[in-house]
Amino acid sequence: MLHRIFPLKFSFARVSVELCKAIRFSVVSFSVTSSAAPPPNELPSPTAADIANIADIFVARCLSCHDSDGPAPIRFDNTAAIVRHRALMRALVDDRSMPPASAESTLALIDSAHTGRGALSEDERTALLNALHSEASVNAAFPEIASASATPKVASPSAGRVIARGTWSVPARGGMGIRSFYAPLDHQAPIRLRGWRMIPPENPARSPIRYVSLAADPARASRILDENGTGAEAMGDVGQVPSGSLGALSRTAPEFMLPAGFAFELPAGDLVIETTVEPIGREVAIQPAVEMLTAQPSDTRTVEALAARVVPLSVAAGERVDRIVHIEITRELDLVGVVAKGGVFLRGFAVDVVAADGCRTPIARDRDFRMNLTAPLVFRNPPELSKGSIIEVRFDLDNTRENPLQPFDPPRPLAAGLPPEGEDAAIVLLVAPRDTQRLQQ
Amino acid sequence: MDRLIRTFEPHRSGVAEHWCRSIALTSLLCVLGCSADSRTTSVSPTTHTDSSVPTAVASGATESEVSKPITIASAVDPSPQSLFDGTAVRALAGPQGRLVTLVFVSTECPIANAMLPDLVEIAKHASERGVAFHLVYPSTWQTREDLLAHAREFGLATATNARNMLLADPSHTLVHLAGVTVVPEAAIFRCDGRGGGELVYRGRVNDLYVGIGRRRPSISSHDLRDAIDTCLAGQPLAQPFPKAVGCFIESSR
Repeated sequence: MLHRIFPLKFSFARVSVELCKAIRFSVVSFSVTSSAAPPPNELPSPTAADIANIADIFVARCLSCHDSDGPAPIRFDNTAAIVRHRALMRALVDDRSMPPASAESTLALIDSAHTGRGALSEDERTALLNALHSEASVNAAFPEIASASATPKVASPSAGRVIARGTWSVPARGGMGIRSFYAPLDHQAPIRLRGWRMIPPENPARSPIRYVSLAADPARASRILDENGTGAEAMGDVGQVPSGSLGALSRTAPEFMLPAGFAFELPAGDLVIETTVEPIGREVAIQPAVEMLTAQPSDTRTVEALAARVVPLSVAAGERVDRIVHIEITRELDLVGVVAKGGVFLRGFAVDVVAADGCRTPIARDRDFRMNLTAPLVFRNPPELSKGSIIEVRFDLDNTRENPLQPFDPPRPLAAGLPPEGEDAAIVLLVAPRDTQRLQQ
Repeated sequence: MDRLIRTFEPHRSGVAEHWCRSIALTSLLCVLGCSADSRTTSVSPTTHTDSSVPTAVASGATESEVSKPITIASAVDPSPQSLFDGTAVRALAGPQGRLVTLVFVSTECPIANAMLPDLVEIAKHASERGVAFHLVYPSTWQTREDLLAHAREFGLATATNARNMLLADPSHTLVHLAGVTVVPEAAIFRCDGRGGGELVYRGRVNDLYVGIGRRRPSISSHDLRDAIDTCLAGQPLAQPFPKAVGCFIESSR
């Protein structure tokens, strides 16, 4: 079980190694630490080095979302606001709820630098906790907070905006909901994109949108499901093309960028925007919109997708099971990123690469998956996947009473489907072939 | 007026009613001046930070606590107050035995906001049964207009009995009285007929959130509504009370 395999706390040490024959990358190794964080009243006073560094950490890892125009519902873009929210901030940083990077990887992530995501190092976490220890320490560490939004987070030029056809009135209350929108693309020839940026609504802190995954629909097949023009109430998969094959955006990572050298190829037709929402306490009409970020001429490697799903998905009432999906790698690939999706029954996942000689390399895992806080992983230095290796995706599916988000009492048999009755867990692997031939998967 | 307001430490015993904290409300809150309940605490002489602002601390308070007395709102700065007209509100001024429900909310906390539609329904449920119900904003830094804008945004301003339902508590008089620490958190008092009352419930509203970022698909345990019904039936509430999940209330001390 994932929750037994994965240690609770990690320390990170960056080393460059060659692991197995199947996969080579710059790895951030995990080592288990058994000691718990010291209680608040035992924290040492912040040092001068802490204070010199803490503002940078805060701007990069906190303010990128909690700025005045950021997507986070609670804002602390000035010292007084930090003082007000100090206790909550300390509690959430201490228990690792924030920054919301429950999905972790052995690989360095490309997005941690400009979206605030990415696990804090233990030193950074300690420095942040020290700075939030008292009103005096807050005033010392954050005398003046520069707005994170003052600096563009991504320098790539925009290739235009894509606005979903139709709106959806999200009710004031209820559980998580999913709806797929489509948006017409006007261009005739395929265009190459490096990534996406979510266009925030007027008041991002009041937006119910939690996650957006994207897929191309060149045949405009999704329109068949949208007879009323209100957005199809269906998953965003288009035929064999999985939702998320063009990446994903989330409240906590409103920008998605591929590593340098890689690009999506977006055909003419429609863009399918699968949108996950969470009611915010009042009815809100949404119309998802994203901005396309142009690829550079040097971004020549085209990214495609492999999807891991449990088929058929079936978990008996009262059971918590690991379901393992194997994807055989038949060509030389680079693994660019991982997009995870799931509902309340998906408690965690793990992605390993198993080489032909049996050597296993962990790539990514999440032992506390939460769709409303998750974000895709994009690797700064995509690892190589050798022909003959296996990608093993492990889904931790919990249909017991002990699942804190279990919607039914008593639990009911679980099958694939829309929430809350069904589960649509999927792991989409973004890969790039190392030759010019199309990926035959 | 040299009335007292006290800080309380939880007084717990195995019996629900004995757990309840007795309340002696003071001047500005209820203007009635309630007698202390000897079961829970005794009142020490006050220390004054200002000749016109009487304060008091719980018996047994440490020196540091004494040095940081609670500031009592003056007649010019009544607390708590109606969100609509700013007039002072005597939250526990009802007849003996009347139940008063306070639910603490905020403009920012997404967990509190997500529960507002359910709280409006609970308010209706309570008022139909003769239970007073107040949504209390414990913000120390926002204006009444800020809070009113939030109430309008979420449809609270048009809710049943909204004029009496929405309170501002910038001095945290009710926060200290109820002993709440987060929003949303609920407290139920049983009035003693003298402007005070017993705290008979303090805990979560429901189980929509089981943790920060952990939202259930639907509510399965309507804790506050059930607590109101149980109290109305004269039955003891099961303990421990379910703990509230939400955003910390910033300290006014």
